Amino acid sequence: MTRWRQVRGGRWSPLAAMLLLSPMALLLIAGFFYPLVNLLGRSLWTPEFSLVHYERLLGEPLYLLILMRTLWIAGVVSVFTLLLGYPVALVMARLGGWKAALVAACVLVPLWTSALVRSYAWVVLLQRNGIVNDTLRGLGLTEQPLRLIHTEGALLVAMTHVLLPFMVLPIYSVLRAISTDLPRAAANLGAGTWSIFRHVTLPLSLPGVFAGTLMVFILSLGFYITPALVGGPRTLMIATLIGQQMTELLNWSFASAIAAALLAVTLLLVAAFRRVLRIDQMAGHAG
Amino acid sequence: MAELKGAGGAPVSIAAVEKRFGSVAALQGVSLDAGAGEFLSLLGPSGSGKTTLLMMIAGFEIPDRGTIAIGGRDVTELPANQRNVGMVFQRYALFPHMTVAENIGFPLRMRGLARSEMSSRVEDALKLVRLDGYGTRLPSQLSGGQQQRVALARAVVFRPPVLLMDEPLAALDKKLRQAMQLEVRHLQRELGLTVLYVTHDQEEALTMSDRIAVLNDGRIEQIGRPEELYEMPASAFVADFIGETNFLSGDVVGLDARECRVLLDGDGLVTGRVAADGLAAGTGARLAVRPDRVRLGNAEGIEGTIAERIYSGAMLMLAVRIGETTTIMARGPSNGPDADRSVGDRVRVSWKPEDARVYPAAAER
Amino acid sequence: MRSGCSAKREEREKLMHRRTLLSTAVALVAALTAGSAEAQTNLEKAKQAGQTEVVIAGGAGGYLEAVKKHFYDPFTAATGIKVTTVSAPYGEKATRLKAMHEVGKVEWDLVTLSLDFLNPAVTPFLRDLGNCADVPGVARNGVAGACLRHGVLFEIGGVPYAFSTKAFPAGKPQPKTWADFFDVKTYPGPRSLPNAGVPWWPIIAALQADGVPHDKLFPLDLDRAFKKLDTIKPNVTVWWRNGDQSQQVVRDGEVVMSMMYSGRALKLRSDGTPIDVIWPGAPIDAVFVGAAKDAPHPHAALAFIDFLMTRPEAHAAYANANFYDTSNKDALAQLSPADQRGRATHPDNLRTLVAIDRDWVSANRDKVIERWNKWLAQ
Ligand SMILES: Nc1ncnc2c1ncn2[C@@H]1O[C@H](COP(=O)(O)OP(=O)(O)O)[C@@H](O)[C@H]1O
Ligand SMILES: [Mg+2]
Repeated sequence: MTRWRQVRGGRWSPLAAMLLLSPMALLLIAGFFYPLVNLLGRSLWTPEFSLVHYERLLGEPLYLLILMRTLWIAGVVSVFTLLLGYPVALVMARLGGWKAALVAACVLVPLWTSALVRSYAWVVLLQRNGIVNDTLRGLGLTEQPLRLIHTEGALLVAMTHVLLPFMVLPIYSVLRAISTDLPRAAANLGAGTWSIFRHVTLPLSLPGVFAGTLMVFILSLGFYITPALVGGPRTLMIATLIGQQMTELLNWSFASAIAAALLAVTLLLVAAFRRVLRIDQMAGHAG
Repeated sequence: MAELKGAGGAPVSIAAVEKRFGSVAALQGVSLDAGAGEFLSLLGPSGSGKTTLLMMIAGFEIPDRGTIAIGGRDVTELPANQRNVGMVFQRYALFPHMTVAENIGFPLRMRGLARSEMSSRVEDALKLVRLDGYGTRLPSQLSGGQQQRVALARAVVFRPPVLLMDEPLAALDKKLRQAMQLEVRHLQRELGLTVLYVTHDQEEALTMSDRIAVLNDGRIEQIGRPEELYEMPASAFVADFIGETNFLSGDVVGLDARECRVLLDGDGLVTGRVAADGLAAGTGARLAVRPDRVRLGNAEGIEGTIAERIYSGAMLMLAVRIGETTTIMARGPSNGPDADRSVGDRVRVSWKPEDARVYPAAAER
Repeated sequence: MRSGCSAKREEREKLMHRRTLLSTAVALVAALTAGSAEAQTNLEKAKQAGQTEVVIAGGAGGYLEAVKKHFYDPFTAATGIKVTTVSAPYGEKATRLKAMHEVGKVEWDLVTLSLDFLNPAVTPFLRDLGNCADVPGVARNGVAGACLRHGVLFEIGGVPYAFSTKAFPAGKPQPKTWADFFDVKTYPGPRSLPNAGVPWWPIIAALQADGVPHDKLFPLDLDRAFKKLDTIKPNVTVWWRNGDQSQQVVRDGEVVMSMMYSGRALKLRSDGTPIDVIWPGAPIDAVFVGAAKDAPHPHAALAFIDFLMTRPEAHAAYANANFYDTSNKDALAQLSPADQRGRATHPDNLRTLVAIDRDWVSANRDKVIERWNKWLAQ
């Protein structure tokens, strides 16, 4: 009773810290850990312990194929958003003030509309009689309408568009937090624009790159509406599969097994990615 | 250590430099010459334009008007990375993702030095700042003073002829600061560098500098050796900014080429040297006298009462109340002749005329 | 008070019942009155149990408005029972129903689902109505076969295909059969097929295109069907996932032919899209109303079903607005002859439609869907 009162010198007593953290912890337990345990339980006990769902998952090449495709699409989208988003974040960080806010607004606009509307916008642009095909034909570049929509390419473009903000914002906030002294110091020490970027800005922004890539990658794994509307038959993604098992077949156990497998693979990839980035960071300032 | 000795220092010449940021005139016609190997401090209150001036020499800002030359070469518009000027930032600006050795090696790497040459120079630089063995640490694993020394090593490892320092010791505690002051000074002499040293701490400027330039509102108030500034401040501002000063206001009642007599507002006639133009009989004036030049006695001078007695170890400070509004501070050794005086005692206050300086009241900023 | 009151009523009913056994003459009269008495009973039981609300999980948007106007609001006006609506897609409704049973708190009384959900994964959560003896309105006003044991037939349509009359105008060859749908030489252009969790629809189409008569389809020959589907796969540019999408691709000319819900196709045509609808060989699709097991207002729910079956004029108006037929046996007669001809329940169409063998589908669902996914992903 007396010990927890010793809150002094800006230090929280363990109890005070626990009190402060408990709402978040409760939320996490209720909203994440409980469902997670439930999910794992469901995939293993039906009602007796059995690996039958995992056997089906591994035994049927379809599911591995879809898992690989999902990871592939998520990976490509992550790379695309990174390539497009990093320069945007860099420009935003340089601009500062209202100009940065304007660029940020442009980047954020896709988030203000529903996934449905965004996806249909791509449909309108890319369909057979859509703006892109009409323009190409009008310019005499093509004779037959190209098959643009309902392809993997269309899906990648649409997902990149939607997920761009999740890449730009973390990188931007990390870049903003880099003291302006650091690039100045580098210039003072003889580094040109490229060297400053290569040796200072880029390595220091890697935590933002990590956060952004992770966010985009994980969000990509869960994409559901866009693949259905913009993608083709080959872009069946794992979320759609889980949804199908959940809502069309009411096979929750198998859906849980797929979800658990996805979670496991995602965690593995995240861990690997962390490692790669860290090694990269080391290599970046070794020589 | 001999390895680090480059071509020695180079002169820095700043001519009529002006710089505005929107409506703020950060620098208005600053001219300044630092000789090769000179330790020149830029001293002034916050916002007086010190950093702006340093940034221009480093190449991070370009003057609106005027020129900057280093070693006789006009560098006014030369990009920062080609200036070959060392710089120590106030918050060190060490690269947090690089080890100490990598930080120090960075300028050498940018200059394409061979690996072996690089590591031996880094080693030398580490020795120079007494951090040998710390090469593999990250900056975050060092104390503030150690980080400061790394920044210093990094700024000199590529043998720049000029070293710029922007309040480099401001974040350190007093003891460490004093030690570092000596170290910086030692290093500067050792390497023969020209140093431009920004500080707002007049004591630091006095102890370290060959010369000091006092900045105020984007202008240079006075440039001179520390004792010149202390003994002969060219303006009331300098007198106020450097050292401690009693300011007494009144009206000029008598004036010749050297001396000026002032009738104080609180009554009493005092004398001091003429320190600036613009004094005439009948005009307002301010007389400045250092507390350590004020003498207390019972025979001559203006009369007052001791209002406060402040003991600080080696020194004793006495505040003497003259009339209603004026207080004069007098300082002497705590074992000196005034040690016995106590609050409430009547005393007479005087000084030698050559120890006091009279400025026109209008010169007040 | 209430329970005592209802116990008394039950006793009286029992008494009545006993009397019917006593005399044939009385029995005849009593049977008639029992009918009407019982029809009222669902409503009265609801009233006595204090069930002043019924929660219906149905559709959304324009569909909901139409049902509200023609059925929900009149029901409230006639009975004083408030209708609370919940909107969600079929799959989600089935999932939520299952979840509600898992946590032991069912919040819905009625749920509309497509016929496809009348399978063993869903029926455990629906009340077994047997031969619908407790809902006499079904036998009295419904079409033959309206009672589905775990629900009551409500809307009836099919999954025919629509073709663009701009691509294939009158006077030139126009597709008429599933074989024509699969014939990309004679009828070139991109096609659309459903990928909406009901793969037996395109399978049924493929088998007919390959020469299987519409009444000899079940059990479905999957190998044969997928072989036929292989031939058209490159020409199917859109595998639609929901009704909106199926309409959009036809409206925008993205495809020249699309297998789609009849109501969606008829709606497009009435809105001016130049298409024709090919009924022969279309799988029957229907929507049923199921009563949730352990529902909060079970009597009000049955009272609603009773009411739903009445009033042919409301059904006709609803069918006109919504382009699906409904299960009131007198409704079709109220449409104009031309309209009747376009409807699934028109005898000429009904004869050519494919009835889904629900037992076969239930037994093979997982297998078919897995194979379909695999085929599609190749
Ligand atoms: N980048 C800038 N933009 C706008 N105003 C500036 C900028 N840099 C300096 N100033 C202004 O110029 C004046 C001088 O600043 P500075 O050189 O930093 O002074 P000091 O270093 O002596 O404190 C101040 O009024 C400051 O607000
Ligand atoms: Mg400054």
